Amino acid sequence: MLAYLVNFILAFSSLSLTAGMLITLLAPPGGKKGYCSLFIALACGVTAGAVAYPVAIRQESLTAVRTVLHAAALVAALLNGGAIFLPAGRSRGIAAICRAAALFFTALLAAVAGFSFSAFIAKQSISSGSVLNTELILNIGGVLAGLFLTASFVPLTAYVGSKSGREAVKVALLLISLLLAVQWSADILLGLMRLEMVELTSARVSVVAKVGKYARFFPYVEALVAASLSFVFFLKRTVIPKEELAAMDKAERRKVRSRVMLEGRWLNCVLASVLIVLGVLLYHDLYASRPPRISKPLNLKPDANGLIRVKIDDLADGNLHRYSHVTDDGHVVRFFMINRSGGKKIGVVYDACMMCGDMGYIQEKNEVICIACNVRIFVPSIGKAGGCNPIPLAHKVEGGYVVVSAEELDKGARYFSEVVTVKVKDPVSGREMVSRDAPQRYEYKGRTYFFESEETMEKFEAAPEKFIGNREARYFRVQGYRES
Amino acid sequence: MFFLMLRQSFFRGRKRKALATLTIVLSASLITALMNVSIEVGDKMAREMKSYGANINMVPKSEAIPLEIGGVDYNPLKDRVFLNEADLPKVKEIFWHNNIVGFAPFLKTPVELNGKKGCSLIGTNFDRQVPIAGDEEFRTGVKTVFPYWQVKGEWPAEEAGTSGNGVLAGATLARELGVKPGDRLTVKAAGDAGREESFVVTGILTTGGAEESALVAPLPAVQRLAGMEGKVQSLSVSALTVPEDKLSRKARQNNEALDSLEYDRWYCTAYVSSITHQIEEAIPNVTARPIWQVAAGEGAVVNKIQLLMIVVTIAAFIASGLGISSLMATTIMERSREIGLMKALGAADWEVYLLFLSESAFVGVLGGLLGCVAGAGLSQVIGLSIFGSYVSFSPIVVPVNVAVSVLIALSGSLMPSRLITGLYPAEVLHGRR
Repeated sequence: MLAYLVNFILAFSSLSLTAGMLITLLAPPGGKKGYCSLFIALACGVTAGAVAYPVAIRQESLTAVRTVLHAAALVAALLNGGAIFLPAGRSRGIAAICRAAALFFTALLAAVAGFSFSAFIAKQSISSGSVLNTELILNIGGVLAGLFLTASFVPLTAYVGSKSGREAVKVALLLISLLLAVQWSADILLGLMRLEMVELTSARVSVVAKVGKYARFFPYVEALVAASLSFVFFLKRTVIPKEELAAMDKAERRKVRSRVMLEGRWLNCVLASVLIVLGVLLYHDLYASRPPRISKPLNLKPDANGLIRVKIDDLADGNLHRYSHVTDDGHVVRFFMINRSGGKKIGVVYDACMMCGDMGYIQEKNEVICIACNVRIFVPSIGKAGGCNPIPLAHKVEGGYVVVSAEELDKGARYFSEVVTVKVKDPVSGREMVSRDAPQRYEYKGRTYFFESEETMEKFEAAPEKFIGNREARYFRVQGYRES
Repeated sequence: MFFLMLRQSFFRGRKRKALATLTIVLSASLITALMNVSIEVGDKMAREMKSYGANINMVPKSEAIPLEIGGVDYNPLKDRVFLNEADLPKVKEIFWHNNIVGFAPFLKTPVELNGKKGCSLIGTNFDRQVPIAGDEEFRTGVKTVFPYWQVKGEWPAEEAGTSGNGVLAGATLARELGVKPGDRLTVKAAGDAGREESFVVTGILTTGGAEESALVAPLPAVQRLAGMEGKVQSLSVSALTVPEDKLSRKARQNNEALDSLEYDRWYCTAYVSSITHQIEEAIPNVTARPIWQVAAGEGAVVNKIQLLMIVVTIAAFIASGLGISSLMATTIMERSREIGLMKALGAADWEVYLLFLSESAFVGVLGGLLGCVAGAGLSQVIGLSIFGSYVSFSPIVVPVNVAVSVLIALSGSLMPSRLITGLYPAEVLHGRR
């Protein structure tokens, strides 16, 4: 339910704010017909966008359609942004241009909104069965709630905007258009790179990635824009001092009081809507949509013989005991032990999956779950290879202890991506340094070696065995399981 | 001010309002009842689809060919083709072998008890060691596959002991025969030349299924009795799965339609459909199907209920809407002087609308809530007559029903409230209209 509500708000919030502000800017004095064409443009845009997604999927041209749509929307945003600054009210020609630009912008913004929400719907399954059920009703309820919230922003912004002056509305509208334009240009760039129409460079990818990273804050900014517009409205409202009020005619005074009350109600409505939207978004982003996290591993240091020992009695409770070990070159290797049957059989495994990678496993009540793919792992089978089971780790059981060698853990370092800064030694010169600051590094048999200069690295490259002996290579995931 | 007026006007014309509420209660209770039954089944189906475990039934391929005409099964190969017991451990060799929690083979054969009464004898494993590559100690059987099977007494030993073969008597059968744990039964395979063997009842079995009217014995004993060593009829597999989603539904409809990327993702995800697919790959000539209990049983009925619900909702909507409409028209005519006064004092049209519409919305809420109570009772009657069991009340029905009731009330009063616009203060206050 929440996902539907949030995604609806994300897709349509900018549309409703923009529509409200454009109504203010376009409103011909006295006439009500001004809204009509705006809403027709909006409805047509949403429908076109919503239809475009499934059609694009069927035609297998999703990227192209997306890029074209965003490019058109970008052009519309720029046109509209320019038209706002035309001197208003001088001639009928300029008014008509402003009007056309606004309608065009609204229609394309609506199309983008419809497109993105349609994409969301297509990826989700709104109900898990064909028969009416609670989940289906809740999801539809989520969409309706989103519709109500976003739709209520149209009259709210229009009212607040009309009272806080055209300049403030123009600034707010430009700000929102700018946010949208940045987002769309990044998307167009990505689309062009995907379509191989511009060259793929790391700078371009990094721009796209940065925009994508900050794009999740844009809805918050929009909510704040609405709030600040209402703040301007609050500052600009006409306050009549008490003495003047007292001097007024009775009927006049009642009218003024009624106006003040009404304005207060509008303001409260805007603030309440903004708070609700912010609350929903924050709840979703900070709490509800967060993936499950693994428990913090206990870092174990090997003894002088390079062995790590864990007492079996500590594992008797049947819970997942997660440990970690940091290798010489800074890889963090996580592994866990679990009592997999009622007796003392201990499953000793890396906290990573051959297929899903190193997101790890969590324990929920009696079930062990792979975070990446949500598969329940049959606990008695932990320690065996296959399926989505954790990768087995070679170990020995000696006198009530599980013994794992640091050498074996080191071989599994490539199953994990987390790297920390450690003190390392140049294998050639023996000089100590910090891995992050090492000037040169070289990868050999899956291990990273750090060097103080290019000179030592070249020496190493020529004959690695001379410096590190004939150490076995690390395991790679592509190699699959191996018996050891 | 508005709320003061609303409160005051609400207590006027109580009789008419009671009538309006009753109209809504009637339609709301009907909608509630049907919706409650439908949602109950829908939720059960959704839970089944979203569960993290499933049972899979595996039978020989020819067994699964549907050849039913008028409810009678004409498949000539039925009960004649068997699975090889030796093939079964291959179930634990598929890609998702670690997700197979256990399996239990079944062999059913008709027998005669103590020389006269006929019943079926089911052979299965209770908790037997099955040799599997890589795990010599894998034990499985109905105890793991059907953890809800309850035995009063003891489970029989898997291998024949000194006191002869043990057997479980189903609860229904035991009641009919009057047997207790410890009794001795002579079982003869059906047919003239059938073998005869003696079993000791070790326990009474309660499963909630067809096994309750049969005898359940260890598989080897039944195979011996039926003369079908090394054969089984079906295999129940219990697997850990991930909930069904869009991809698995697409695959279930037609797994040829998946493109290679989707196919890989489907194959490498522990959907029940991909596990059954892999079982079919591993063992030749078998069909594996997930057992969706609710979808197969109540699902068929509920589709009709849903259709009925839609029709009833529309009918109720129109009927009670019309009722409310006429009541509202009378109210406005009766209170036209009041409306005139309000207008004369400076009330805008919409403010008067708001007063009347919120009054009827309130009637809608009240009617909806009362309708829920009445509908909850009605749904028990429906549940008892269709499914033979009580229906639990789904809380989601309340908000939906209240929303529908308010919608009925509002749409009913929208038309007559147009009359308000036509009232001129001067006319109504003067009394000409």
